[in-house]
Amino acid sequence: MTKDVTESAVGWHLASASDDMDWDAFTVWLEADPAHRAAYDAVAMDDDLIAAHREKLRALVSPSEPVEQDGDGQTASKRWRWRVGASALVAAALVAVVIVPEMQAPPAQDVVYRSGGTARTISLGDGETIALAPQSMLTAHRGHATDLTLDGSAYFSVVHNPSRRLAIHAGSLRIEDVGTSFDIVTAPQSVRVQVATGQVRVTGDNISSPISLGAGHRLLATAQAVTVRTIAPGSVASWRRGQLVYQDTPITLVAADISRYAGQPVAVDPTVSERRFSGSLTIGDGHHIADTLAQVMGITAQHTDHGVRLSAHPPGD
Amino acid sequence: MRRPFDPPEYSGLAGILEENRAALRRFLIARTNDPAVADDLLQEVWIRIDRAESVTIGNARAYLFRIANNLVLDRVREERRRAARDRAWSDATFGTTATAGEDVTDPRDDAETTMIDREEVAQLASAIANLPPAAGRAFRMHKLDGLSQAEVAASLGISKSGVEKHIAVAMAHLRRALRD
Repeated sequence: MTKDVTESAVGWHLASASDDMDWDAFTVWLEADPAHRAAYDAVAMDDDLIAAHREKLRALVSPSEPVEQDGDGQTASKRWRWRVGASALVAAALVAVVIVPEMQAPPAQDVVYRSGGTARTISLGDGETIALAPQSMLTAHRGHATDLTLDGSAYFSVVHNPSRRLAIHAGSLRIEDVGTSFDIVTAPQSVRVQVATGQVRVTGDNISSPISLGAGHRLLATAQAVTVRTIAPGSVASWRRGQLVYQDTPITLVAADISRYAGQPVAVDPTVSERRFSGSLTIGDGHHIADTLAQVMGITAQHTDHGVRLSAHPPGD
Repeated sequence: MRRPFDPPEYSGLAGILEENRAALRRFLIARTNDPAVADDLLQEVWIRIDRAESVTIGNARAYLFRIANNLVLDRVREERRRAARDRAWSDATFGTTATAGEDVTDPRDDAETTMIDREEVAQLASAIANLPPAAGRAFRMHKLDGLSQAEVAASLGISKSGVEKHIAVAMAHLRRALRD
């Protein structure tokens, strides 16, 4: 007598928790019929649901009182039924909730998130939180939370989920992630990715095969090269703690980044454009960052109506 | 700290994964019906054990299969949630381009999730209430009251395998009830 598919699926599910589960026989059973796979998934999800709603279910499903006794004094089996008050409320709420107007189709157009002078936090649901630095823009293509483009600086904190691939286009790079925390800064001609926890997968214009970037590492892509190096802990999204931390970073990226907090463009003169900066800058109210940077680097910060311009000291100074 | 480009060392758990790579891959394909997804998840198993501290694992092979199976279930769970959400989508509330400085959180989280939850809970509760008495009692004691199967067996004066059979009968009933 062949076992019912549901019963087999239940059997496999209950067996899967133990150490002597026969995974090979389970594989063979799954391969025998696509219905087996579907049945197994359904049973596993039932169990999931039960665990997830355990407390509510416990409250809803309770013994009836008093226990009925039949003629010869034997206790009839208790009949479990809904506790009247609570269940009626749930049922009423259910009815109100289930009758909803026709939902519209998801938007086909891009959804854009912009920050102005202040940072903002975007929650795209499913444990995907993005802290967008000032003067930055994040686009969700066709409204999909998994297909994003970043222009500026952001810190991503993504709960691990193997079924969800988050892809972020940033400058010339494409950063793919399953669940990690990392930051990205884009600037004209360069992009920097720093991973705090977990791992991301980076592809891009100058990258021949995908690079796996792990925790405590940063990837810097410029027009000339793509490099990976280790970074100090606390470097990642340091802006959220009022600090800007750089390690051997092109001045052009630093300038573009500090522009966000200075509230005005910070330009880089060709006389210093090949230089790199390592150090930590306090954001404060933003007015002095460029000056501090210039001081530390031994260069000049000229303040004009159009912003700040970083250049070499004039000869003779 | 391992740099991203270092070749992995095949020892311990990693070694066992390598020995069983083909079997795990076959299992994952049987579970997902998608070789590309299977390969992704296999890689995920790798990452998981790479991060794991050394733990005494009774049966390492079984442990790896359990990890793989749980990864597939995570995926199935997410697919179902996404499908449920898409059905309940309202574009009026998603992702307005807010003015500078405003914090916008995704309202989908609250409204739709709660609605879906309530439906599921009510259906489940009804199905549980309609279980055959003996199986239902054992099921409730174990799954809702949180007693171990041994405790349920002691409490009901039946054997552990008796409890296991009751649970199995209950889950099969629930599956059929929820399907219809």
